[in-house]
Amino acid sequence: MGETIALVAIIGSACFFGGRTIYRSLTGKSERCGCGKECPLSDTCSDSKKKKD
Amino acid sequence: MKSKIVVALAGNPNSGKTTIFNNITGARQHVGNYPGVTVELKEGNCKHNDTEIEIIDLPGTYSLTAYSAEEAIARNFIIDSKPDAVVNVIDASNLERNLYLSLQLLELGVPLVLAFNMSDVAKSRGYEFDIAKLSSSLNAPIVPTVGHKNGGMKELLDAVVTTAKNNHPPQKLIINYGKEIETEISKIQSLIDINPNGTSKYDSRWLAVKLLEDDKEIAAKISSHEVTEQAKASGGGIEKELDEHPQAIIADKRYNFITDVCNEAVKSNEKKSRTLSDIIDSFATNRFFGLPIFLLLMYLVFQLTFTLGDPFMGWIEEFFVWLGETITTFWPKGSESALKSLLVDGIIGGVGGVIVFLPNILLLFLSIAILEDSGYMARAAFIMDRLMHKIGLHGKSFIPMLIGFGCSVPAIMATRTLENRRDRLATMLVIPLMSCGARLPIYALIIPAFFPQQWHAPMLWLIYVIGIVIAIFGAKLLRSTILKGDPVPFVMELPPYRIPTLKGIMIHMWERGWLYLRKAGTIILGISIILWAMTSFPKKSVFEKNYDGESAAAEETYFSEINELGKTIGISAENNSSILVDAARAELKKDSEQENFYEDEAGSEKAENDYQSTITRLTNSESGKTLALFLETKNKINETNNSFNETIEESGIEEGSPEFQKLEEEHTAALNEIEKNSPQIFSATVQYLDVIKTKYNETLVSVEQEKQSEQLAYSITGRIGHVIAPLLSPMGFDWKIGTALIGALAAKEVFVAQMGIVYSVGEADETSQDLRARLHDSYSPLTAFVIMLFCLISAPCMATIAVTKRESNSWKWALFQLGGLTALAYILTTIVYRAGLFFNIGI
Repeated sequence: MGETIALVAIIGSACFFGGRTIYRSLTGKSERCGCGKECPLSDTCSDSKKKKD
Repeated sequence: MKSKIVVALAGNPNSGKTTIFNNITGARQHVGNYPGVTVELKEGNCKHNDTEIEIIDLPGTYSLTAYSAEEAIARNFIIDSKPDAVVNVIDASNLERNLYLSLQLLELGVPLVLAFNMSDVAKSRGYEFDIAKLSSSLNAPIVPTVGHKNGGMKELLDAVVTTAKNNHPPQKLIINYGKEIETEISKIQSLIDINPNGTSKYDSRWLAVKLLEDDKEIAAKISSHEVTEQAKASGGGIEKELDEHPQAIIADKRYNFITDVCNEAVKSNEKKSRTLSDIIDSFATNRFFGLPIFLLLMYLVFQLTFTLGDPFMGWIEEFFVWLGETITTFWPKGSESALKSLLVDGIIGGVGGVIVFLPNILLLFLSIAILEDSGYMARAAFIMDRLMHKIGLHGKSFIPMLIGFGCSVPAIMATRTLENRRDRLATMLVIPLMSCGARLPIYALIIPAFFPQQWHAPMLWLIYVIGIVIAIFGAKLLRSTILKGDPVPFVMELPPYRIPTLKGIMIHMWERGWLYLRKAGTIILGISIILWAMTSFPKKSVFEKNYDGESAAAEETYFSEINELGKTIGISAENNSSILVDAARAELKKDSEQENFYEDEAGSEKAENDYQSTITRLTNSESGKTLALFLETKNKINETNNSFNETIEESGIEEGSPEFQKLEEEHTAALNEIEKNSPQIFSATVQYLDVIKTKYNETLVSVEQEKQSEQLAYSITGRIGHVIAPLLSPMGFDWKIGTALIGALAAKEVFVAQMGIVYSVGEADETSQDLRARLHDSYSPLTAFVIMLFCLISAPCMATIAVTKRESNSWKWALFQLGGLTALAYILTTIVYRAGLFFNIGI
């Protein structure tokens, strides 16, 4: 039972976050591309964030 | 007095703005020794004395007349946001050209500080600057800096703060453009002053000059028809009168001004002898040697990526094998726990399979960082520029393409440097053909699995070259069909060669590696879990075949054959009841019971004890001596074989080598020694081990494999895979590859993860045969090659599609890229696969 709950929780979280990532990247809500700080889309750098043009 | 100021960094491309930005803010934005690295505004903060400074790094621009998207971004920021100070970063070794932008900034009347960057290079080239005189002529403070050594930063910040806090607005520089032009400027200016609609934030003289320079963006801001007409009439009049376009005359006057200033304040003892850069360039950009050198360097990069990466990969692989085995011990042996399968097959099989290629990623980006920072990448663009011009393309397109070796997303952003929209769209659409870092794990998985060691680097090189060639011809096709138009001339600036700094390279490599790990720990982890669930569920309860019955039948055949074998050594009995069969039954029982206990638990020990007592009972019976001899011979043969195999595995001795032959001879001698004791028993034991037992094991594995295949086909992944399988068969792909390719749409690395999951979940035995070996057993080298080809050409990842949509401002082009590249991949892959089959290559 415990295993089943853990399994459902893990798969559920993966589906939620995976779906969210896909939705956000396709609708342009997420500007992260995961490709690197040199990527102008990346806003992951704490000390230098992109400014909208 | 302001306590917070906004400062913009402006300057020509490759003048070192981002290096200064990083020095001041402590940020680690990417810098490269080639123009066009920054294509968007970057913001950072620092504190100098008591002043908070917000620093904006602008894209490089040669002038304030915007020709391309990123030049417009730089200009609009300076004009619209009105920063408290603008730092014009100047490459002091190319002073006259760099001062052209400074002059325009001074004409605009912005509070300006000039940073004479690379002043060490200028000095070594024999330039001597009278800073005080230059500063007085230009009416702006000048600070010499050496960006890459962090030199002059404090002085620069002092000057910035003083300038920004100066309450008196700076005096605008007025250049006399000559009687004819000045007359026309006055006419336009007076009309603008009368009708300032929407242009009040601009200086009217500056607007008049821009209109004469035919600046389309400024012209679009002018709502007064009268002003526009006057500008056209003035431009036409000047051209008629002076037989030259006003734009050229204005530029000429500005350069005259610069020359006058430099004559006064710059002494040049420039050595006219060839610099080291010139000498290297005479080979690197040579008409004949340039391209071969570029291709050779690419080859060396891939050679390095594979050869140096291998041992590190082995360590990571071993770590994940250990981790998988450790996690497995938390469950009883043979347990079918779904959570265990998720952790071992889904997460370790998927994420671990991707992380294994981290060393290759690090080495590839180490090499690319060296080539970028040394200035060679600009040469590569120059070499390709010549080639691309020959087929009617814009050479500048190759710079974003080179960035595409890292990631398509910043590469598509980098197309902003292209002035012509058609060039930009064509380049944007073909950029995914430049093999990005995410595809490397796919190649690194497949190439060593199917091709001999000496072919590893050439195969990788070939894949990258195929990408470049298809990209160039694809762009050509687009430019001569749906994106037809004249190419824009392009002048390429070659920066001097520099020795890359260890810190810079390491930072670049580490950032890439860290992002790869982060991607593996987030996106790849999430998708691996989903793919595992799709590959494991729903579970099939009723199978098409009676697999348990087949296993039982195989067991009966096994015992019957053992009984027959017993007759040859005189321990036979009717109805499979000989002591040899009893011993075999006891062994199977022991193996089966041990599977149901933890390896180190008492149950396992009990099974072993039960087995030993059965054997003792049997060997004490009639014919027991023969059985004892048989079991002893079996153990000795097993020990000899295991010792031989372990020695080969541990020492890594290659088959066929003299050392191998020597070991083989020793092995044969040891077996002969065992045979001497009792040739008949030895022969029967070999028959048992090599034929009867092997056949039985193979049958069991085959039955289990069939059962797993039926289960896989029943799962969600299997169902999707079987639906698309007919579509994939012309390319030689099965449904497993098909589902991995669908997963790769989210991120290319998922292909590796999904193959790992499918082959782990569908694993029939408990042997830890690695993914490469499984792939090698399942596909031909031809299929392997076309998988790589398809992954290279087909639909890029979602992030690329999204950025194409954003940059082209249209879903049409993004979907065209998605569909076009997938269709192209399908056609080319099918052709290559069918041709390979026809010519019998790699089957």
